[in-house]
Amino acid sequence: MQQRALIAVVDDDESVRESLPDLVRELGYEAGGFSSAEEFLASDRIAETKCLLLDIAMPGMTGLDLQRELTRRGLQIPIVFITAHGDDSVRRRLQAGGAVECLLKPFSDTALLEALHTALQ
Amino acid sequence: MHDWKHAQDELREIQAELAHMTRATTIGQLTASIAHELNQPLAGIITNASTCLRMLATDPPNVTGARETARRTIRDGNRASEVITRLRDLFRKKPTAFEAVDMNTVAQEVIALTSNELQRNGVNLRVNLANDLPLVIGDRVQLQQVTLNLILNAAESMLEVGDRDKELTIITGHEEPGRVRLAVKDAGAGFDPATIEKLFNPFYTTKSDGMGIGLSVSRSIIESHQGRLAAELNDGPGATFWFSVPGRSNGGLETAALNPAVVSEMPRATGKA
Repeated sequence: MQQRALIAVVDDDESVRESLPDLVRELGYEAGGFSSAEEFLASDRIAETKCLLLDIAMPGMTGLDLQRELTRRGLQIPIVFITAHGDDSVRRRLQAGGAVECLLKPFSDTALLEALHTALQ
Repeated sequence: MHDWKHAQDELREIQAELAHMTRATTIGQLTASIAHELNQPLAGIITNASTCLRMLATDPPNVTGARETARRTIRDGNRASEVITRLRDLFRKKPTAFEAVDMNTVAQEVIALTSNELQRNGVNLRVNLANDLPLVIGDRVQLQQVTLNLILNAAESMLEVGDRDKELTIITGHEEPGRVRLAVKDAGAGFDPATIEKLFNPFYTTKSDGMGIGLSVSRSIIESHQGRLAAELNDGPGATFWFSVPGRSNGGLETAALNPAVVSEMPRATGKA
């Protein structure tokens, strides 16, 4: 049986790691939570990750640092950024920088579903 | 005269500071903080409630999961409520420069800065400062800003007055137990008693060009001094706005070293002919 696509949630906020993976599972995907970019990079789940739901502002490596590191390693994992600081100009800049989407908090489940569809195309 | 120029500069500086405090700080910074701080728990609320609905829509419904996400939704709602409380505390930020303050000196300093302006507006200033006032513990600049705000409001309320003296009286006095009161009495238009609570609400104003923030900020400042700011209509025309703050009273009251001669030298806005 084919494995379901893994969506990795990388966010230092514990309440996000608790709630967002549950919603992702309800949308029909497999989900895993990581508390930092470093934790994700050190995990053995990079290869199966089909999309990153990635917080931008994190202590240590930021979301943008992780994006650069993945590029450096030649890994092309679609990235959906998530931020509470953002506006449309931030969103456009991130998309110009290669991100699939940038969801501005608070976002709806349909916006999340659309972003995942785009990422997994 | 050099002294007047200096006083006018100082007045402009304080007025600019007050305007800056009421506008930039309270609106601009609070808006940014509110947006960012509230978006976090709001995102949690929407995510958890969405998950909850989807868990209930399956066949059979995932009641255990739905119950957990509903619980998280409430938690995040409470978190949003705590953000509001925190922002309110920020708005009423604790005075940073607490020191022993003589309220008569506060009144005199603000009067010195405003008497020229009052005179230009035809205001007849009367000053009635009590002797032997206890010192209060507070932020001198903030207490001055509140006093300034009350005086400018009082003067503005009398702009249209033409059929009587534009009398503005500044009074300090004792208030039991061990409190100090500063009152600003005008002979202006007064206010509709039905709106008295609204007077202190942010963005409430009766002025065409007013922001409706001065009194709200003033009350926040006074409350951060464990004090009280209130308004009442006079028996005659106009209104009296006053605030009272606790005196420095640990056992014995320490009294302000007030030189009565200073009081008698207070500048008068208009010499009554």
